[in-house]
Amino acid sequence: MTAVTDVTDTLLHMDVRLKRKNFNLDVTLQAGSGVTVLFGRSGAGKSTIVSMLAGLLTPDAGTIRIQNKTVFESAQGLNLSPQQRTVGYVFQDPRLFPHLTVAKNLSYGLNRLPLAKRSDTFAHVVDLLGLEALLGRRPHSLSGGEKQRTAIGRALLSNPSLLLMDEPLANLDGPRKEEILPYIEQLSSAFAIPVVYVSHAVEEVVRLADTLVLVDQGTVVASGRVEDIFGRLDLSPLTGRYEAGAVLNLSVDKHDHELGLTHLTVQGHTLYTPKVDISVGQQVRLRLRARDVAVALSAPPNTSILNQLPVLIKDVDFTDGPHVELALTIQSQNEPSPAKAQIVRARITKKSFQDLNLKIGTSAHALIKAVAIDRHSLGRFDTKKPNAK
Amino acid sequence: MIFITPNFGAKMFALRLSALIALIFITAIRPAVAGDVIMVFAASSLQSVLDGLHPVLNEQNLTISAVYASSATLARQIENGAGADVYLTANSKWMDDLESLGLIDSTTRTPVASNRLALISNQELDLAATLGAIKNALKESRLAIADPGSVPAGEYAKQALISTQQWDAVKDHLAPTKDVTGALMLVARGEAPLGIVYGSDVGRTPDIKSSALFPPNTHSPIVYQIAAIKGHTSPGVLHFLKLLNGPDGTKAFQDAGFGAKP
Amino acid sequence: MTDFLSPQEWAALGLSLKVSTWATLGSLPLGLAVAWLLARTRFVGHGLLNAIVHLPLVLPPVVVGYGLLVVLGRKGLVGEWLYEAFGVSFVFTWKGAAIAAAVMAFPLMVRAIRLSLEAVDQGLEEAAKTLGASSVRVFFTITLPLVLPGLVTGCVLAFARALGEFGATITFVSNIPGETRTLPLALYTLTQAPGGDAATLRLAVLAVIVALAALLASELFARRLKRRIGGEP
Repeated sequence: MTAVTDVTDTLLHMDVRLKRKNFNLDVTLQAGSGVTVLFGRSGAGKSTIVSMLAGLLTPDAGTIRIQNKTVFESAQGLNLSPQQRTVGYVFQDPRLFPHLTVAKNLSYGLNRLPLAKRSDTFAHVVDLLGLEALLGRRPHSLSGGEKQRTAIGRALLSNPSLLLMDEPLANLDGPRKEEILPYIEQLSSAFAIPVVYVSHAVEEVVRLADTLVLVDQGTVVASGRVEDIFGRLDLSPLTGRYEAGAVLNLSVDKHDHELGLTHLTVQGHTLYTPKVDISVGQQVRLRLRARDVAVALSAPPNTSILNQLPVLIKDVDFTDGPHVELALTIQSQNEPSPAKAQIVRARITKKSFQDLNLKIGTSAHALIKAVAIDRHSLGRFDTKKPNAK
Repeated sequence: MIFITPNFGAKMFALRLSALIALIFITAIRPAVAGDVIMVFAASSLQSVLDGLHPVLNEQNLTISAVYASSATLARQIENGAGADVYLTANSKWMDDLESLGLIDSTTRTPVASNRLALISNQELDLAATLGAIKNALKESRLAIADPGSVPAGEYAKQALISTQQWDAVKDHLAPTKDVTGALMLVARGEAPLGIVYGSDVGRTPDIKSSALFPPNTHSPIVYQIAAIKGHTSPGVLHFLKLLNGPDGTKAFQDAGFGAKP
Repeated sequence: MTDFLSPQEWAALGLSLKVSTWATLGSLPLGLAVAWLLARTRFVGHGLLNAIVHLPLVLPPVVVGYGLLVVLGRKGLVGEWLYEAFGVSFVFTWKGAAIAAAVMAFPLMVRAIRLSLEAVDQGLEEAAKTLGASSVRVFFTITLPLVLPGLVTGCVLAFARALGEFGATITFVSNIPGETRTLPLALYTLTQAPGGDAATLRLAVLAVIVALAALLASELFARRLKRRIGGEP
């Protein structure tokens, strides 16, 4: 049922079952270092999984091991309480203690750190999350984004062996999310703590996930690299219908300041996007919505569409409506190596599919308008410090 | 609730306010019933008497509705126009008070029974000997009496203690209760080794194992008086008064442990 | 100013304040514990406990006083043992008056605290647990500070009720001047004698002033507390 790929070190192992009136959960998952995103629709069971990891909810049966410490083992009747588990938890609502200042909130769990490390770590976290100006304030006077940053800092400062984040950006609007995402992106590497991050927003997945765990109706449907899972047509119902699209890995080649464009490179080809604020040489992830990708048998000249990538049709999925979903592998400029080829998804009409006589194996070109690529679908900036507020 | 009406003097205002407060301390109230029912306001200790009269009242087609409370509370209610027809009290002070206010029909005011004062204990003791040596018998404990400041039974008890030259010795060792029943209960339960109650109270509970009566000359005569409220002298009321004064009434009082009328 | 009241009246006032203060403070820990049990736990007998706690609200005070006598009197079920073993007795003492007042005020205190406990966001307590705080630490650092306004309200309600307590007090500990004659008992005594009207009025006004002062003070205090917690004006 689950395919666990690319997880080199297992810092989290979970195999549990939970049965409730309208809900049946049976989850097996592993996570390594870095950010593991639990992705799925509302009600899929993601928050339940995280609650069980934290010890706030007890599974009916199973095992949970965090960094080689068994925190739950139903066969032995072992069930560590939340305070015994050293798991940091950032909830969807910040849950800051209203009667304490930001500084006091942050240091609430500090006693779990060895005395010698406390002031340094405190300063480090405050600096990383841009909280200096807020230290003496009360939670009620903070904005939504400031509250969540404080909540993240508080969880970090409790010396967790695993950091759980349950849709921490769900209650924030666009600009606030933009404000905080960069902080979260740096978290895992800055602190060398595995992070389990729950989300139903694709852009958070693209920007944060090292490993993606797809959850649906109480089970893990797939687990592995973001690019692989988003490229699979059979998982399309879960990875998003209207917003479906594949995720690519590219690097920044150069910026064209005059024309306001950035050149990205993938498998030897250039992809033009509106200018982004990322240094040359950085690796980025990009999600291309399938509906923004057109297919042509030959690269059309005299067209405004800048991005034309040579592809091979790998997979086809006929839907009920007038559409057809295609999975296309990019043909490398330099050497054709299908195993390492990245996937682009396209959504075209059945009519076009038939008129062009497309089949699995057909060579074609994927056409992507540069302007259709938006900033939000680009992720994994480097560790440059973002602007506070 | 403070009404400022220029026509009323401070005394009336004070009277009304304190009557309001007094009303709060009513211990037992039954609603007034209109018609031929005679409203009798009676001191609490007389409840057994009136209960015992029921068969006779039924025979003679008299219906009474009795309100039992402390004599003071009842008097205040009457002062404020409560619909009483008859006032039955152990305390001449309050009767005098009402009479001076012109609320009593003086022609109907008569004594109907008397009572004695008794020293009681829940142990089997010879209390006659203790009557004059109460303090010693108390040891570390207290003497249960009704509050001398406010309850007639307590005032009589205080008089008896003064007469027997014991007041100074015991006055700081009292347990003053809200009413005579309270004192009776404290002794019956053994919380207080000794108590002073009415002679009529002695037989009310089997827990009282011994008693001794104070000589009548140690206190003012305990006389129960009855009177009709002015303007309420209907034939039924007069009939009732006659009954209480007559042999049936006397018997009822006797059965309840009260003494004959003086 | 001392002529405003007679020495006995001052004594009654002082005694009332002493009795009510002890009654309130003494029942606070138990009130908090019971409120916690009712708000946060479910067990067989939960409903029964709730009913028992509310009994003094529903029963006539004299009945409660009589019950206290039966249980805590010198010859009472528990009182006898207390007296024999420790020489401790409550009847006829101000401590007994405090107990009577505490019992009558207990339901009010429990209700106020319970309401406040139920209003505390348990999500905050969960968060504290994930940060490593033991249940005890969660209680003292998170729950208790947030429940404080409710505690204050409970105490003030209890204090006000204790100030006015009459029936249970006079039945349990009788009306001993200087020892158990609190304001309400003194007032009652005055109303039972003809001619005590002026004194009654004075004392009544005094009782009202004391109660109002307590209620106002608590209102201000509670408001300040709420501001510290939630930042609402």
